[in-house]
Amino acid sequence: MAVKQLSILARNRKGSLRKIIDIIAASGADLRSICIADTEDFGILRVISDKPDVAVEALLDAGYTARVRKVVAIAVEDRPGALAEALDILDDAGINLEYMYSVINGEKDKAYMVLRVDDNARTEAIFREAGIQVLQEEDI
Amino acid sequence: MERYYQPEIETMPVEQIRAVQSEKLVKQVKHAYEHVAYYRSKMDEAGVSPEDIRGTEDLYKLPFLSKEDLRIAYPTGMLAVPMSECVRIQSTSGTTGRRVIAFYTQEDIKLWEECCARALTAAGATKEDVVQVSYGYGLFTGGAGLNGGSHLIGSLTLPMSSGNTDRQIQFMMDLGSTVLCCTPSYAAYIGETLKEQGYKPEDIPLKAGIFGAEPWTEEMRQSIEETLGIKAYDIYGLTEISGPGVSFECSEQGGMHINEDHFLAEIINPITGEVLPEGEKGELVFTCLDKAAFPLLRYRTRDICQLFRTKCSCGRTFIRMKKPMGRSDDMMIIRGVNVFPSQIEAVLLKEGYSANYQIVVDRVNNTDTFDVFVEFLPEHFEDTVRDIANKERKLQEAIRNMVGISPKVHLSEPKTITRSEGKAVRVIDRRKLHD
Repeated sequence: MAVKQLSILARNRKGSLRKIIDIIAASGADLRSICIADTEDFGILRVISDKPDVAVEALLDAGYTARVRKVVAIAVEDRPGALAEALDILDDAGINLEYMYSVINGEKDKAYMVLRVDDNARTEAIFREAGIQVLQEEDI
Repeated sequence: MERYYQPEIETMPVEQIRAVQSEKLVKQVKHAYEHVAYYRSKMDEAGVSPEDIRGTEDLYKLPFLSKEDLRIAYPTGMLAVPMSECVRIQSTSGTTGRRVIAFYTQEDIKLWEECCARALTAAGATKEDVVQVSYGYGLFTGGAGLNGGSHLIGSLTLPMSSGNTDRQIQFMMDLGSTVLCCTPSYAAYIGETLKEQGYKPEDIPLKAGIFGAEPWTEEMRQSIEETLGIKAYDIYGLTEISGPGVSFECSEQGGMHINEDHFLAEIINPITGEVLPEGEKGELVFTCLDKAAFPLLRYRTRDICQLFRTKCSCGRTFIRMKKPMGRSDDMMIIRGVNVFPSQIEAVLLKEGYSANYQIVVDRVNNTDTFDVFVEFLPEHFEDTVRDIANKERKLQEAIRNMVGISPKVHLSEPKTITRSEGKAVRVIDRRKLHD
């Protein structure tokens, strides 16, 4: 269950993002979403891709610090307040959200969101119970 | 079974060592007084004549020499024989901005190389061994000293010099090197590269390493010993006194035996110059007892350490010195607190980080800034900023507990901190640029 996300540690330096993107492109992996968290010294790049395992190998070979971990992905209705409702569900269950970002998708009336939480299985179960669609690898 | 290169000297009774030292000292003082005008005027100024020195008990009467004296006497002001009697020079790296040129006669080279042969033998090297010398060759004493010592033993010597790590590894594997001589930071780097190339400790032919020329910690020793599957021995020396082999570790790996038949050691209070009793911590001072060309007397090393003459299980009777706590040149005073890079290194290794780090000290608005850059290992990477911030905070706390002041810790990607194949640059003190 859940979907794979690729995380890469990148130095805050001119051109470093470009190099990473080049390596991923050369590995043949396609990007679905990209999100950057940055601090004074470095950034963490989070990528949803169709071939995360191929991309991570290429990055490790090039000397990058990278890893694949599983995150929860959901589809919420594309209307004001829908995301807030989903987050309320997490809140009520006492699940702590580390970060979140959106992923592009082909469906017109749905927004795809990726969430990083401590317990993926429990989070997915809670969303399903509340009638929110939980996405799989092949959905995105 | 402990082996010695010169057993009759290395296990000499202590009274006999003292007698040899006294006899040599009297001659050496006379030699320096007669042939080194610079030292003669220092002795005259201090009101000491060669006749006042009748043995080691009179050593304290002699004036000290410091790096500053060597700078003033540069290039040949300390030379005590005609240049035509010299066969070689070696020189310091000049990292502290004052390059020193040391001169050697044929006999000086011989005694230095014998000291290195003693160190190699203590580390287990024999004629059957293959000794890979990966210290820099050239002006630096590391390569030349161990190369010469290895020749005396009759070991096959690989004069690799430092750098070109792939070639180091190829020769090591193809020729089956059993003893590696280099700086500890380079040994760690070679070990890391071997690991990356998939070699396990049992695949590596090395059995021992002799590492020196820069400060290193017990933790670093353990990590090198594990990665390379060897016993790692410390060696100490300085160009001004001869080079590596002034003192060396034996099988006990508990302090370095000083080659006392050639070098007389004292510990002094670095501020008052007063000689301290055995066992006390202070600045290490050396007197060369029989080097002819460059006979430094009471040379202040700036190394802070301790001497002890307890019985050693190896059977050697030479006094031992502890690993220097750091050079007083390395010591930083940050916000009024004394900080040694070796303390930072000890914390990093204890917390599971690599010993590759850099300390940057600067002054902003009249306050010292203290930044420590640390490489973090790929296996520690979690993908949240919070996790990295937590790790930084934990390290910051651990360093504060060790040194008393709190640095700003910056974790960075592996391999981003500049690595050197010779001496590692651990401290960048930008305050000097502003003063």
